[in-house]
This record gives sequence, C-alpha cells and structure tokens, in this order.
Amino acid sequence: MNCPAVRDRLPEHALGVADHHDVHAIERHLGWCAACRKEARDLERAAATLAFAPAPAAPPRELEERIIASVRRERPSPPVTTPGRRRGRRFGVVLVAAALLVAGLGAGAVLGRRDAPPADKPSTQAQQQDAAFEKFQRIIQSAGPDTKAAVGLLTPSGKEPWRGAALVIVSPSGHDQVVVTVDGLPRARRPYRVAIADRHGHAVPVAVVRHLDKAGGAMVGRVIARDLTDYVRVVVTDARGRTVLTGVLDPAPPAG
Amino acid sequence: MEGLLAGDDAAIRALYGRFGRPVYTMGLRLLGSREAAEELTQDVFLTAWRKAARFDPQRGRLSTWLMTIAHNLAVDRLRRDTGVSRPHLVLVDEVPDRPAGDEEYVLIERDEALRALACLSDAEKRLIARAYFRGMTAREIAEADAIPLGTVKTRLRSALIKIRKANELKEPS
Repeated sequence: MNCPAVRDRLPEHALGVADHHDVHAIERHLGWCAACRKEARDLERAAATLAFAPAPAAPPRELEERIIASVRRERPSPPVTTPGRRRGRRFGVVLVAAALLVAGLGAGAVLGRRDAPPADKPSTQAQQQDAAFEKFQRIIQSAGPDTKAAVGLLTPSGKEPWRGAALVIVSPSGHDQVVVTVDGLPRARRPYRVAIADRHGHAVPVAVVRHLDKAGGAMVGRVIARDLTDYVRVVVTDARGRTVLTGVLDPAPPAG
Repeated sequence: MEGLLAGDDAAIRALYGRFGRPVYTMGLRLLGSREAAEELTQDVFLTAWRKAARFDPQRGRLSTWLMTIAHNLAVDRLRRDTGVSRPHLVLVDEVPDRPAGDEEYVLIERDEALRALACLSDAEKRLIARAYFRGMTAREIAEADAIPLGTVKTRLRSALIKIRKANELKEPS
C-alpha cells in the first residue's frame, strides 16, 4: 500500500473503523513511513479526544476490585500482602479528606487552594522545620494513635524563592497518605507534578498541580495504597520535567 | 508505568482512578449495557497492564494510548456481538454532578473534547459520531446516508483535522 492509499484510510484507522483487511497493511506502512506515521498519530490523538465527550457515567464501586483481582490472577508472582491491611481504604480516603478540611481546605478537594496566605518566612532551617511541623500538626493529630508521621521541607536547588513542605502518614490500614504544600512557584511552569520516592529511586506519583493561588501556592493530598514507610524523598517537577523542589522526610515529633 | 508493568496494585488503581470512568462511559456509549461496559472496562485495564511496555510517552499521551485501546476493544466487540443494542447518538449531555478526586481530570478532558467538537459542522459531528460511537465504517455511513463514499471520507478527515487544531490551540496555555 502506497502513501496516498494509506492516507486515504487514516481517518477511519484513527477512528478504529478501518477495514480489518486494510489494518495490517496500514500498520506495516506506518512502520517505515515517518510522514504517514506522523499524520496517523495526529489523527489518532484527535480521535482520542472524542472519548471524553460523553457525559461521564459512574461504574459500579466493585469494578475496581474486580480489575485488580483479574490482574493479580494473571501476574506471575502475586505481591506479599499483610492480612487485614486492605480494610482501611475507605477509612483512609475519609481521613485524608478530613485532614485537608482540618487544614483549612475545601472538603473533598484533593487539590485545593489555601484559604490563608503563606506564613511568614522563618529565617533558619530549624525554624522552617518547626513551621512545617506546626502546619501539619492538626493533620497529624487527626490521623489517630496507630499512625506514624514524617515531615520534611522542600527546597529548590538554587536561590529561587520557592519552598514547600511534605507530610506522610503511615497507617496500619496499608493505605498511607501524603500531603504536600508548595509556595512561591511560578504559574508559567505549571502543571507541577509531585512524586514521592524511596531510597532506591522508585517513585510514586502523588498529584498534578494545575492551579496555584496568587502566592504560587497549593496544597495537595492523596491516599496511596501502599506502605510508604521507606518513601522518604519528595520531588516536585515542572511541566518540562525539571525539578523545582526536593526534600527528605524525617519522623515527626509525637502529636500533641 | 513501571508500577503498571509490575502489576502493582497502586499503579493499576491510579490508572483506574484517572480513566475508569471515561472507559466505562465509552463502554456504555458503544455497547449499550452496563454489563458489557463493565466487561469492556475490565478488559481494557487488563490489556493496558499486558501492553504497558509498549507505551511510549514520546509517541503520545497516556490518555490517547489508553482510550485508543478502549475504543478498539469496544468496536471489535460491537462488530462481533450481533445482538448488542446500539446506544443513542448523544455527544453532548448535561454536565453531571461534580465528581471527586482524580475525576477532576476527566472534567478537564471533557471540557476540551466539547470545545473541540464545537468547531465541527453538524454534518461532521454526525459522521464522527456514527464512526466513533457506533463503529460504522465510511462505506456503511455512505450507504446508510446515500452520500458518496469520498464525501464521507473527506468529512471524516476534515473533522479530525479541526479537532486536532482545536487541541493545538489549547495546549500552550
């Protein structure tokens, strides 16, 4: 199949309705023809936009668990799970929502603007650490006696006026929570991505920050279905993947 | 993606949290029943896990990759299942109650989709809907509407190009 013939069929190919007899020939052509491949990708991307047009319908709640179960059945080595750890998912979701509410954010907002302006800049590292503890104190208190909390400051690599803080709450439920605040970030470099990583560099995404308040600040939180005990490094990157803030978490002093 | 490759529960949950609703919605639209939509959604995420190694972020967005898998599986099923009830052709419904959490992303994507569709003529919308949401080929549409096959193909192409341009306009923001 030559280029004109392929291009004639690309709209149907992108829409997923190309004749089955043609699909193989089209795919083979796209394998070596960069120009047609580019057009195909552009049209596919346009077609994929259509997927989001219908008003969203809510799948049944148990469908997620069925999907997880079907992947578990197929993967070669099932992960080690601690009995009883799965029970806490809903509790964990409620907890992080409550924690954000306690912190002065809109209820249910995983991504929210802060109601209060950023705190005065503490002058020393120790003061900044204390301020971070103070900021998260009410969240830590609301997390319950069986949880462990770790807190850290987020700082830029240079002298930029950006800063942040992160809190991780490790829960016996196995669904741990991360709360991250940022301040002073430039809006032009949105969206920012927040991730938490362990000592081996295995990273878990926490949130995408699309909205900042006037001071370049935001607060994000997420329940993550894994034990975050060893996840001690928080990284914030900008839209181009450049690191803007990093920080290491240390155990927080007992709440109270 | 590394987590997805490993079959990591958290990675699959994260992917489902972001795309479970649009995939299920697509299943409802194309296949017309909740049961079929649930089966499709399960198949899509299982396929995504199996094919995770093939995802190349340089080639396109995760949403494009996953929704293309979903659409291809749905169209295959639509063609295979002779008894399936075809859904109504409704591209633009009322906005539902605001969902929570990850699904803010879905609302953003939907807003972009509706803005892109607004650039199309009524004839282009109708053709796109027939192809994408009913799995009809250009030839089937041409025969059903008694219009030349070449006209159908031209309109499908022009509609996709308009959507692509609409997407390009919103991306720099």
